[in-house]
Amino acid sequence: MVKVGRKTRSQKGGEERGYKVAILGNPNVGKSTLFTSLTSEVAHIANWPGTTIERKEGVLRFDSWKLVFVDLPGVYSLAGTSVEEKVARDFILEGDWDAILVLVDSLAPERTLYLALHALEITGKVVIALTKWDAAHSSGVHVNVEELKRALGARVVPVSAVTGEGLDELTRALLEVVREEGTKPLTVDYGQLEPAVAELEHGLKGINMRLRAPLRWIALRLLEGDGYVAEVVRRAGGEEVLGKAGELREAITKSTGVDPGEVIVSQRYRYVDSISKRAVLRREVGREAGRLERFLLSPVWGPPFSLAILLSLYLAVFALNTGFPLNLILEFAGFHEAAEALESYTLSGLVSSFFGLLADHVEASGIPEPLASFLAEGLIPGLSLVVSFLPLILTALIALSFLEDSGIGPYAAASLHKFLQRLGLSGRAVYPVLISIGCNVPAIMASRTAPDEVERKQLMVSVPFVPCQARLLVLLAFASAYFSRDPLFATLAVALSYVAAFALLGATSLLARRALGSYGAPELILELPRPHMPSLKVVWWIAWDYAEHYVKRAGLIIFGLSALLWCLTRLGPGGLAASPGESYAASLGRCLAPLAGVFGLYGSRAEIVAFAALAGLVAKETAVLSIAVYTGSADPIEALSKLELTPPQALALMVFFSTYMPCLAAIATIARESDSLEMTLTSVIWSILASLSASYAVYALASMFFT
Amino acid sequence: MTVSLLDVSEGGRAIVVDIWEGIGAKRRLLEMGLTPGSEVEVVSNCRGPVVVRVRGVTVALSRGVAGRIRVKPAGGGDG
Repeated sequence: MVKVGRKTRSQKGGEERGYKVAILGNPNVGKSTLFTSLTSEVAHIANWPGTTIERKEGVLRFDSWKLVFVDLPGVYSLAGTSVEEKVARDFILEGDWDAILVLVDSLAPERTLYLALHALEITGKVVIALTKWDAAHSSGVHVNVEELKRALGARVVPVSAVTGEGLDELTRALLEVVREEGTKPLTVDYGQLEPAVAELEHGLKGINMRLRAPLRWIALRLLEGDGYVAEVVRRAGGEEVLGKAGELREAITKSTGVDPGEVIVSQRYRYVDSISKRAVLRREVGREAGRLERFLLSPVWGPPFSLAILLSLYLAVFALNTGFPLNLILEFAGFHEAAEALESYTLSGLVSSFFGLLADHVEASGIPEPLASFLAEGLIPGLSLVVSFLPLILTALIALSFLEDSGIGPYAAASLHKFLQRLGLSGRAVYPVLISIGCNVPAIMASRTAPDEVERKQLMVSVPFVPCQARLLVLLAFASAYFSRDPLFATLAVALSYVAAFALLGATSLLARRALGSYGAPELILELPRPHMPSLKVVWWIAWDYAEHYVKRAGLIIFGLSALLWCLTRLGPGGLAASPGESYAASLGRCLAPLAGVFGLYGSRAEIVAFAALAGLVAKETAVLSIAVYTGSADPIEALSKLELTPPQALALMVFFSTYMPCLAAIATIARESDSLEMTLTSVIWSILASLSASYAVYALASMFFT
Repeated sequence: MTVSLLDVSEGGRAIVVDIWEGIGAKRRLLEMGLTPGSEVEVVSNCRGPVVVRVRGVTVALSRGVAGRIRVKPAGGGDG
C-alpha cells in the first residue's frame, strides 16, 4: 500500500499538477480526523474573513499529483443560517475548488446524506467518503456501497482514518473526478414545487451571476427566500425574477400552509429516506442506550459524574504542569520545601529552571550591559514564558480532544447546560470556564468548541476575568499580608475576589450576548456522538496541531510584548535604570497613579500599585514581586504590608489585581483566535473599565462596613 | 392528539408533526432531521435537556426547544 498523507514522494524535477478539494461534512462526522490523516504540511491561513473560524489547508502528494484540501467548517446544510454555513456556502459557490469531498457518517447515513445531497445538487464533481467504516459493522449498520453509488450517481468510498482503509482509493477517486468531463449535478424531485422551480429557472436564464451552481439550485434557494442568493441575483440584474420568486413563495405558503423552505428540506429528506431504504440496513433498530450513555444522561448522577470527569482531567493537567493545586495545599499545610520541590519537577518548573540556567550563563559570560541584562532578563524570560505555556497548552488540548473524540464532552455539556444557562452560556462552555481557573490561555483556545460564533465571542471576552493560578498567588499574598491574623477573614477575602470575578464573567458574557444581537438564554441543540474509546493518534494530532500553531502565532506576540515590557521596566530616560523608580514604566506608573485615587491611594503608594499593575501584565504573579523590587525589599509579603493599606483598600486591590486585564499571553491568544484587533482591544479596555468599577464598588461597600 | 416533545416519556416513540415558529432554531432542527413525519425515540426526559434519537443520531435539546416540537404518538405507543 502506498502510504498516503505523509511526505512519501519527492517530485523529482517533474512539473507538479495541483488541484484544490473542499472538504464538507457535518459536525461529528470525523472531518478533522480524516483531514489530519490525509494531509501533511498543514497551513493555517488566518481566519475566514470576519469570523473566528480558522481556515486550514493541507497538502497531499500522490504520485506526481498535488491535492490541496480546504477544511470547511462542520455544517448541517448550506442554507447560510449560521456563520459556519455562510463560510462553507460562500466557498462552494465562489471558491476555486476543483472537487468537493463530502463526508457521510457510515453510522448515521440517514442523517448525514442530507448534506451530500446539497453538494450533489450543486455539482457533479463530488466524491463521497463514508467515514468510520471500521466501526460500522460492529455497530450493526450495513451500507451497500454499490447501491449508494447507483442512487447518487457519484463516487462513494468507504474509509477509516483509524486503520487507513480506503484512503488511497479516495485519493484516486478525487483525481478521477477532477479530470472527468461532463459531470452533472443530481436532480432531486421536489414534487408540488416543481412548476415553481421550473418557472424561476427559466426566468434566470441569461443572467450571469457568477455562482458555481446550476440555475435550478439558485431557483430553489430563491424559493426558500435565501437573502444572500437574492442579493447576488439582484446585482446581476434579476429584479424581475426576484419579484416572481416572492409571488410564488407567497402563493405556495397560502395554498399549502407551509413555508417553501420547509417543503424543500422535507422533500430532500424524503429523497435521503428512499436511498437509505435501499442502501442501508440497520440491525440495531430500537437500540438500547449504552450503560455509560444512560449514566451520563441520568438527571441525578449525570451532572456530578460529568463534573467529576472534567475535574479529574483538569487536576491531571495542572498537577503535571505546575503542581497546582497540590503545591498550594502543601504550602498551606506548612510544607514549604516539599511544595517548592514539587514545583521544580513540574513541566513549567523544568522549563523555567532550564531558561534560568541559560540566563545565568549569559549574565556570567561577560557580554556588555545593557545587552546582557536585555538578554538575561528580557529575551530569555520571554522565550521561557512562551515555551512554558507549550506543555500546558498541549496537555489541556489533549484533555479537550479526548473529551471531544470520546464523545463524553457533549454529554457533559448537556448535563451541565442548566447551570451555565444563567451566565448566558450553553453547557458547551463548561470546559473553557473550568480550564480558565488554571490558565486563561488554553481556555480561550478551548472556546472553539462553542456551539456558535456568538458564544465563542462571549467566551473570549469573559473568560479572562476568571482568576487563574497566577492571580491566585497574588490574592494569597495580599491575604497573608493584610488578613493573616484571622484565617476565616483571609479565606473570605479570597473567596470574595472569586465571586467578584465570576460575577464579572457572567455580566460580560450576558452583555456581549446582547451586543452581538442574541437575546434570551441560549438554547441547546447538540448532537451527542456515541461514547467510545478515542483514537490516541487522533487526539495527539489535534492537540499537537493547536500547540504548534500557538507557538507560531501567539508565541511571537508574547515574545515581542515581553521584550517591550522589559525595555519599559528596565530602561529609563537615562539609559539602563539603576532602580525601578527611574524606569519608563515608573514614569508611566506615575501618569496612571491618579487612578488609584479612587481607592484613596495617593503619592508613592499609588505609584507603586500602578507600577505593579504594569509589571503584572507579563505574568500576573510578577505583580507582587515587582512591588518587592520597587521598594527594595526581599520579602514580597513584607513589601506588600509596607503599603499600609486599610482593609477596604486591600480588598479592592485584590479584586482589581485578579480582574484588571488579561495577561500578555491571554491577549495574544485572543488576538490570534479572533483574528481581530477590534475584538482584542474591546476585551482589554472593557476588562480595565469593568475591573475598576467592580473594585471601586468593593472599596465603597467595604468602607461602609469597616467604619 | 398532538402533544409537545416534553410530554413524551422516556423510552417512548413519537412522530414529529410540526415545529412552532418564534424560535430561530426551526430551520436547524429541520435540517438535523426532525422533519414532519420523522420518528423520534425519547432516550431521556427528566429535568435536564430532552435527549432524542432521530435518523440514527442522538440529539440533546434544551427544554425550551423540545417544548416547541409538536408530536403525535407513534403506532399506538405509550407517548
